[in-house]
Amino acid sequence: MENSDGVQTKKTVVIGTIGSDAHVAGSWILKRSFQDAGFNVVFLGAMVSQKEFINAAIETGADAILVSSMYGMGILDCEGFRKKCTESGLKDILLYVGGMLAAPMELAKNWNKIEEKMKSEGFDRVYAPRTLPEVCIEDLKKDLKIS
Amino acid sequence: MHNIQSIKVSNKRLTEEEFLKIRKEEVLPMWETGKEIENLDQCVEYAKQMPESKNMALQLVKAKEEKRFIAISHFGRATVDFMTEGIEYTEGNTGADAGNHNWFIEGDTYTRKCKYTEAAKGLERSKKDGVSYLNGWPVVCYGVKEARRLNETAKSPLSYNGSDEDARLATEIILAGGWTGTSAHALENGIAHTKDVPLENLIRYTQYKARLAAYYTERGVPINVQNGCPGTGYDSNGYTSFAVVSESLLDAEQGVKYEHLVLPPSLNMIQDIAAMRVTERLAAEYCHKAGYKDIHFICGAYPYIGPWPQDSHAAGAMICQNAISCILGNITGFLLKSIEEAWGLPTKEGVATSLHYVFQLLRVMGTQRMPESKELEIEEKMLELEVRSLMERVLDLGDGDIAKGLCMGVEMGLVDTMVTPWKYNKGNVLNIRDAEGCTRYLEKGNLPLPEEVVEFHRQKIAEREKREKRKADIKMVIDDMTFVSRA
Repeated sequence: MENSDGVQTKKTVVIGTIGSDAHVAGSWILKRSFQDAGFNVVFLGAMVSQKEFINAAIETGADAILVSSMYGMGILDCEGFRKKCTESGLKDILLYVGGMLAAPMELAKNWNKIEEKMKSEGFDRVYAPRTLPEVCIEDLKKDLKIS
Repeated sequence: MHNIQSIKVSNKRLTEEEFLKIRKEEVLPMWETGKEIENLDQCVEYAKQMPESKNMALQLVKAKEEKRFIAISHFGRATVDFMTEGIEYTEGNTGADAGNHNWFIEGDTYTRKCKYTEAAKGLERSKKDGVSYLNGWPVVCYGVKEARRLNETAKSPLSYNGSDEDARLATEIILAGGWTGTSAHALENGIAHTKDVPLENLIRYTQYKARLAAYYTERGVPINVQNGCPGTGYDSNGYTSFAVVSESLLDAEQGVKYEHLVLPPSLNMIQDIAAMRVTERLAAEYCHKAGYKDIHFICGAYPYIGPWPQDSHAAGAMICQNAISCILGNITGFLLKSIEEAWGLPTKEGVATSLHYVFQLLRVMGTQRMPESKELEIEEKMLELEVRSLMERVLDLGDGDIAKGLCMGVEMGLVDTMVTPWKYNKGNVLNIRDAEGCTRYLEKGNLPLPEEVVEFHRQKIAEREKREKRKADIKMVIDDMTFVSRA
């Protein structure tokens, strides 16, 4: 991995499934894919609180936090995440979220509304269910200005 | 490493004194609605007034005897109004009633993990915004009065999805509400629902639920206990079958008389039907050997547990595939998902659509069943070898006690599966599909598999490698995990 100045660097991402959600498959696939793409992965597994994500990011000097949610209550679990990051000194950390973020069908089928809501919460990128890991990897490389 | 002496849990029936002590001191005080059901005998008296048609255990036994089927619908959202409207709409528009249908009501995840304060907050916000933020019905927040209201609304029997970390209080409330089905399976609660609750605790909570179901049953209200292993969606059928067979002993020891043995599909019909046959046969055999008598074993199936396709036609095909397997395999009570599964919880229209598919399939398929074949015989033989080997090893580890043996087996990685949130699972196993879509072991970790089984799986994987001209590896495993949803 190289940054825009051509310097070799290995970036660190924290990955996990947020809240009370036990669905670990999405974050497990992300873990494998980001490792294969040359990232340093701190994998927290399932049922991770905002505080655990933030503490892991601080401890490891992570560049991004990737949040997975599959059980439909992600909107509730992610409220105030950006604010907590800022309060913990992670003002500029990249925050991505993806998965089945809202349980009610009316909301789940209205993806723009969910995306808007999560962006207003301070998430840099918001991914719909079934997004391939490659898409997320490319976006992160772009956001971190690495090739 | 544990030794057998350090494992506190054992496969021993709770005495009435022990059971009532846990109930009073541990379970009912978990939330304020526990107070409403302090008098257990009054709760049983209420449940006794329900007609036989509203009893899931009796309906399933009758369906099995008459070679009929019961379709079971998942349903659950935050508000009572949404629930009652959905129940009435579905039953009014599909012909679903006590003879062909049961409800499987989902609690929200906060409730299922005993985070009742969070569930209550989610419920309030849902009511305020007119949108359900919860992924199920928060039964503990509502209490017995509303549980009774839901039950009285429905024509078909109600059961509760008691899977997860600790559903003891929820199970108390729904049984007091006249519902007649719950679930009791410990290992599955570990691999699919929790991160850090040890198996000893999960077994202890499960024993309580099983004992509670038996308490009602012994007093004239038969309760159906779902002993199943939906798992993560990526488990081998050897794992899920073993989970159900081993836990049939745990439920039977607590006095459960109606065991609904439920497996998730691999999607290969022959493998799925073989798995059901082996599971029922071995559960009955091991229970019989242990001296448990007069147990009704009912075959059951979950819908596909991995990720579903978003396209509603593709999802409809999944519902039909799952149901056809059950009809061909004589699997009496099977659960349904909806064409909306990929999006979230079903609407009433989604639930009704699944039933339209299934009732039509039942009509047109009539008495058609899977004929005997060499393929079916081989699948049964291989699975039986595998499950017997696991059972014997685990019983041996526990010195004859399945509860202790399971704890030791998980710790030693003899009982092991992949992609679970549970930190106690070793995760040294990798499952993959063969050329016909059956699940096989690519990596068997520390599983005590007979050599014949290992060789069979190896051959089957090699057939796929040859057909697809690529190596079976982690990339193929990930492809298998998501292939259904890529419609």
